[in-house]
Amino acid sequence: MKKVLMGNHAASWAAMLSRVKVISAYPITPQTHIVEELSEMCADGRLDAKFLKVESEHSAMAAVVAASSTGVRTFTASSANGLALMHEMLHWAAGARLPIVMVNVNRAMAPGWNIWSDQTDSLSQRDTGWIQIYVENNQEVLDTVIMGYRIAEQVKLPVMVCYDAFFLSHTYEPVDIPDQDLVDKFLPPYEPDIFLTPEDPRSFNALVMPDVYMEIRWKIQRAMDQVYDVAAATGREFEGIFGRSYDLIETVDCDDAETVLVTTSSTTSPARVIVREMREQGQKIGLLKIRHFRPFPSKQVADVLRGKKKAVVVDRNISFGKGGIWADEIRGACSIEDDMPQIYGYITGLGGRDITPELLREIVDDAQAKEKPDSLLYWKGLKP
Amino acid sequence: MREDYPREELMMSGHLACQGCGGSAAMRHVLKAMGPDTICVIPACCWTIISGMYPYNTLKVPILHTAFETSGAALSGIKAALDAKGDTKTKVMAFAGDGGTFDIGLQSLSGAAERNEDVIYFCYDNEAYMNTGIQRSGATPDKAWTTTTPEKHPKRGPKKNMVQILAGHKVPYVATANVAFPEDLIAKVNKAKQIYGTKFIHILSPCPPGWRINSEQSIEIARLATYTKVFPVYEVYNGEEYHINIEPKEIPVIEYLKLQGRFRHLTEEDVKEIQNRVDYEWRILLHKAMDERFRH
Amino acid sequence: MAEHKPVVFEGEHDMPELVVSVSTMLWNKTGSWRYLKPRYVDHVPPCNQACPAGNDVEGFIRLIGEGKIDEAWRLLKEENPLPAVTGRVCFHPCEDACNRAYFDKATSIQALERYAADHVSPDLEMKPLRKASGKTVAIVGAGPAGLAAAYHLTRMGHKATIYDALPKAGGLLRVGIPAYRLPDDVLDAEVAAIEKMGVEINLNARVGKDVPFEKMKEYNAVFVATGVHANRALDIEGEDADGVIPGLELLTQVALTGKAKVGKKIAVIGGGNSAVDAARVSRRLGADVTIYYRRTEVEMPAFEEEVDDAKNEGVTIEMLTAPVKILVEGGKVTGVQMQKMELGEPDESGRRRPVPVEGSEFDVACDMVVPAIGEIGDLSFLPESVKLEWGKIKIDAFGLTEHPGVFAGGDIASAQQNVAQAIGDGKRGAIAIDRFLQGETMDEIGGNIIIGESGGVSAAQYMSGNAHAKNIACNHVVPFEEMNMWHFEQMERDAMPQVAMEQRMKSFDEINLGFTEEQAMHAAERCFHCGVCTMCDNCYMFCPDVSISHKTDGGYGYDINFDYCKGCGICVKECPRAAMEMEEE
Repeated sequence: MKKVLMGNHAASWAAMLSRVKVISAYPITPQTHIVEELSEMCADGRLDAKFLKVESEHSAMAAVVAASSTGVRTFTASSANGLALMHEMLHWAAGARLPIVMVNVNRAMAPGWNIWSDQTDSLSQRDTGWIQIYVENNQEVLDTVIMGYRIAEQVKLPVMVCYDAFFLSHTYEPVDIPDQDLVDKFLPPYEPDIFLTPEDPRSFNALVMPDVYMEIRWKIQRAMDQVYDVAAATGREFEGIFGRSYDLIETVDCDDAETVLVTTSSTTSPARVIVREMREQGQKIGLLKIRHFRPFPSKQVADVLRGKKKAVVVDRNISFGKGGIWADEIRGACSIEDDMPQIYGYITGLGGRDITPELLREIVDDAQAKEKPDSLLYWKGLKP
Repeated sequence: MREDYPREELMMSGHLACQGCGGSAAMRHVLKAMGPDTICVIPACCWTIISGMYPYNTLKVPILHTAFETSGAALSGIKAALDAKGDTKTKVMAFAGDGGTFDIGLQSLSGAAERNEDVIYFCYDNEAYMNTGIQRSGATPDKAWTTTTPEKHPKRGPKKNMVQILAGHKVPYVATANVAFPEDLIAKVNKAKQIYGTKFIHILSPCPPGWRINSEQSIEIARLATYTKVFPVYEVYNGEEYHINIEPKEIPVIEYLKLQGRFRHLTEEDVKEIQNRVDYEWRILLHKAMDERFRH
Repeated sequence: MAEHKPVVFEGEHDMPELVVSVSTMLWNKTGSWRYLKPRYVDHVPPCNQACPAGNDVEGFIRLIGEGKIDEAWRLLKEENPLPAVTGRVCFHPCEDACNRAYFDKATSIQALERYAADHVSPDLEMKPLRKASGKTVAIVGAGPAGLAAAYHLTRMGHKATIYDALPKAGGLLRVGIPAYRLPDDVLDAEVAAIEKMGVEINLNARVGKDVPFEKMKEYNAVFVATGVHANRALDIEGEDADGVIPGLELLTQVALTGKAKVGKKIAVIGGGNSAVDAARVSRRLGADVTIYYRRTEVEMPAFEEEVDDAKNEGVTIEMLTAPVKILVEGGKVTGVQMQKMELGEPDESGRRRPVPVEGSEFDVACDMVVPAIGEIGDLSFLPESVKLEWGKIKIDAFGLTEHPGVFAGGDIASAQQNVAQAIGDGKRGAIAIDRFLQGETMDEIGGNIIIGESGGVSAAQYMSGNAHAKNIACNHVVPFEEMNMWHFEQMERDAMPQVAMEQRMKSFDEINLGFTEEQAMHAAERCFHCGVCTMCDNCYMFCPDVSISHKTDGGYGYDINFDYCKGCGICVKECPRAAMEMEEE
C-alpha cells in the first residue's frame, strides 16, 4: 500500500511491521514523531508491544538492552544529544551481542542547540560496535529498518539506521508500505538460544579477565566481518520479495568515470541531479553512495575507486583535529590498495545548512581545479 | 529451629564476598524468599564481583549485569519483555548497592518508580562505594570516614533518606530491612511479591573492610544500628501509611559508633550531635507511624 | 559429590558467542581464605556444675520443654534417685548460679525438677545397668547419702543392704524436714522405688548398738552415712530444765508421731533450717513463737524462702540476740535471759562475729526453749582405723576413708551439710566402691567424671566409660559474659502456687502446690541452655557463605562445609549460648 509518509513515520511503520515487542524511547526533536506514532499504534492495538516511556535516553537503551536480553525484538530511536547520552549503553548493546535496531535522526550536536541535519552525532559513535547504515529517502528508511532486523539477528550485532533531520524526518514522500504477511515471510520471529530465563540461570555480562577479553572482542569483529555477505544477501532477498534491491554501496556511472563524487544520506539526492547534469555536460564523473558506515565496505569502495583520478567526498560532519569522517574512512580503506585516486574531503552542510546541486558542483569544480589535495579537509559554504 | 526461614538455597558457596559481608547475607535471604522463578538485575557494585567472574554464576537464578546507573531501566525492560511474552509469573528484581541506588542510579530508579513498574528493587546498603575502594556515597552517614572523606575531612551531612524519596513516588510498598533480622526481611520479600507495582526494600548490610570492623561483628553491629534507632526498620504503604516493624531499645548511639573504626575520630560533641539527630528522626518516624509515643 | 573444576577455555572456539556463564563458582574453595575455623563444642552450663547431686540440669529442662516428662525424669534419675525430694527441699545452688539471674530472674529449676518427679508416668522404673556382680555392700544410714549410694550401687549390679537406727527410712529427710515441706507419702514413694530395685533396708537397726560394726565386715565394702542427729548444746545454765527441747528432737517427734507437746510461748534459739522448721512446726501446734538469732537476717543459714514463709506464718524473729541463761522455776522453764549482740570482725565462716553488747541483758518470758544451733554426729561406733577430722569422718574427694573398704559420705563426713551434697556423696561413694570392688582406684578416672571444673560427679559419664555423650571433652563452664543476650527476651519468672496463709496453720499439708503444666512449659522456656546447642538455627541462618547446613541424615546438629567456610566468625558470635568456638586453623 502506498502512503505519503514523513521519514519518522516510515520508521514507525517499519518497527510495527517488524513486530517489535518492546520499545523504549525518550523524545528529542526531530525524533519525536517516531515515538508518538508508535504510541498510537500500541494504544489502538495495531502493534502488540510494550512501550516503556523512560526518563532519559540512557535508560531507553538500558531498557532495550534488558528487554532484548530477555529474548524479544526491540526498538528505540534517538538523535544528537540523546544518542550521545546513550553512548555507554551503545557499547553495552554491541558487547552484549544484542540484535537491537534503532533509528538515529542525524542532528547537530550542541552547544549551541541546533535541531537540523548533521551526521556528527552518529558517526562519533562509530567505535561502539553497531552496524551503521545511512539512508537516502523515506522508502529506504522503512526498508532498511526491516532488513536491519534480519541482519542483526543473524550476526548478533545491533543496527543503527541513520537519516537526516528534517530533510527526511519531517518531509513527506510517497512510501510503499509492504504487506504484513510479506514482511512476516521475510522476517521470521526472533527466537534466540540463550536469553534471560529462570529455566537456564546464567549470568550475562559478568566480570571478564584479561585472559579472555580479547577473544570476546575478536568475536565481535568476526561478526562485523560477516555483515558484508549477510547484508548483501539480505538485500538480494529483500529484492526478491519486495522488488527493491539494496547493497552496502550503490554506484551511478562509475565504470568509466575519472572523478567520483562520494555522498551519503540525503545528500545523495542532489548529488544524483548534479552528476547527471555534469555527465550531460561531458564530464567523466560518477557517483558513489555509501550506505554502510559500519562495517565500512573498504574492499567495495576500493574496487570502485581503483584507477580513478579523483574521489570527492562530501562530509556533513567533522571530527575536530582530523577532518571529515567519511573521507577519513575512505582514505584508510584505500591506503592498503594499489592504484587509488586522490581523495578530496569537503566539510559542508553542518547544522542543517542546505546542500544544493549547485553547491555540489562548486565542490567538484574546486577539486578538479586542484592538482592534488594539499589538505585533509576543505570547508565549503563557510562564511569566513 | 526456625520454621519461618525457608530451607532451599538459591545462592551457592564459593562466591567472592569478603568474610562477614552483609551484602552476601542479604542476597541469600532475599533469594530464599523470591524463589527460583526470578530474574535478577545487578548493576556495577560489589555483587558484580561477588557473583563470580565470567564464565561463572554463583546464583541459581539468571543475572543480568548492567551498567552502574541503569537498574531501574533494566528492570523495566525485562518486565516489559516478560509481559510481551505473556509471562506474568516470573519475578524481576534488582540487587543494587547504595551507589547505584542513591546516586548514579537514582534517576533510573525514580523513573521506574514513577511508572510503577511491577518489580522489586533491593538496595543492599553498605554506606559507601565499597567496590571501588570505600569512597563516600549519598548513603554514607554523617561524619563517617571514607577514602574520599578522610578523618580530617569526614563526610558532612545526613544520609539521603531513600525511603522518603521512594515514598514520595507513592509506590505501593517501601521498607527498610536489616541483615540482623532475616525473618523480618523474608516476610517483607514475601509481602512484596504479592503486591503489584514498584516495591523498594532498603537493607542495611555492614561491610567489615569499609566500616573498619571485625568480620564476626557484622551482624551484631547491624543489629545495634536498629536498636539504637540509627537505622529504624519500618515499612510504608502507598507512600503514606507507616508501620514500625522492629522495636528499638534504649541504647545510646555511642554503643553503635564506638565499635566501628570509621567513626573512631568522633569527638564527644560529634556523638552528641549524632544522638540528637537520631532522636529527632525517630520522633518524626513515630509521628508518621501515628505512634502515640510521639506525644511524650 | 562431583568434583567442581574451573572452566578452562582453550581459545575463542570453545567460548560461547555471548558473554554468559557456563558453570558455577563451586570450584572456588574459599575455605583456603581461613585462618580461624569454627566448631561446635558443648560447654558446661553453670547450673550443671553447681548441682552437688550432679544433675544434668540443662538436659532435663530441655526435655520438659519438649513435653517429654518421662524422659526428663529418667535423665534426673540417672544421677539423683530423689528428684521428688530435692525438687522440694534443696537449697538450689543451681538457681544461684543460673546465668539468667543476670538478665532478669533465675530459671525455676527446682520447681521444674519437682514437676518432672510429680508428673512422671506412674509405672516407670529405673533398672540396674549391669548384671548382678555377686558383690555386697553394707550401708550405714538410710538418709539421702545412704539411699543414693544404695541406688547407684544397685545400678552397677551390686547388692546393697542398708541399716538405719530410726523406725522409718529417710534420715533427716524424714525427721528433720516437716511434712508441709516434704510430705511423708512423697518420701515413702521415693524410698519404695529404691527398695523395689532390690535394696534391703533394715530399720530400727542402729549399728554400734542393735547391730555390731563387726557385722559390716561380712560385706565386700561399707558406706557410712549416719548423718548428724545429736543436738549441739547451748552450754548455758538451765539447759537441762523441763521445757527445753532440742529442735531436732521436736521435729523428730512430730515427724514420727504426728504431734508433740508444746508450750504456749516458745523461744527458738538459732538461725538455721532446723530452727526455722521447729518454729513453723510449733506455730502449727498452736504456740506463739519467737526465733532468737545472734546475727542478722543476712547471715541466717536458713533458706530465704523458709524465713519469709515463717514470718508470713506469724513467727517473730529477733536478730542480734543470744541467750545468757535459761530461767527456771520449780524445775520448769519460765523464760530466758537474753543479751543483745553486735557484729564485729568476720570469723572463719566469713560471717561477721557476734560480739555481746555490755550491759544489754534483758529477760524474755516463755514456757519452752528450743535450742537449734546445729547438729553433730555420733562417731562412737566406728573403729579406730577410720580416722576422724574436725568432728567428722576423714575422707578424700571420693569418700574413701583411711580404712580400706570403708567409705563415708553425707553430713557425717562432709563439710557441706545439705541434701544435694549428701546425694552427691552417695554417688561418689558408690563409684569409688565400684572401682574398689574391681581392684581399681579412682586415680585415672576421677577427673573424667567431674562436671565442669569443680562440680559434682556424673554417674552417666562414669557408666558410659568416657566423656559424656554431649560433651566433647570440654569442661569449660559458661559465664554470663560469654552468652549473647541479644537473642533473649525478658520473661517473668513463674510464681510457685501456695496454699493460702489461713489454710496453712490448720494442718501439716504441703504448702507449695507445684507448677501447673502451663507454668512448667513457660518456666522451661526461660532456660538459656548455656553452652548446649539447641538447634536455634542462628549459625545456619547468619552464615554468609552457605557453609552451615542441617545434617543430611536428619540427625542432631549442623555440618560445616570447610571447603567454603571463610572463618568469618559470625556463627560463633551469633550463637546465643556459647555452644561454638573459633580455633586456629
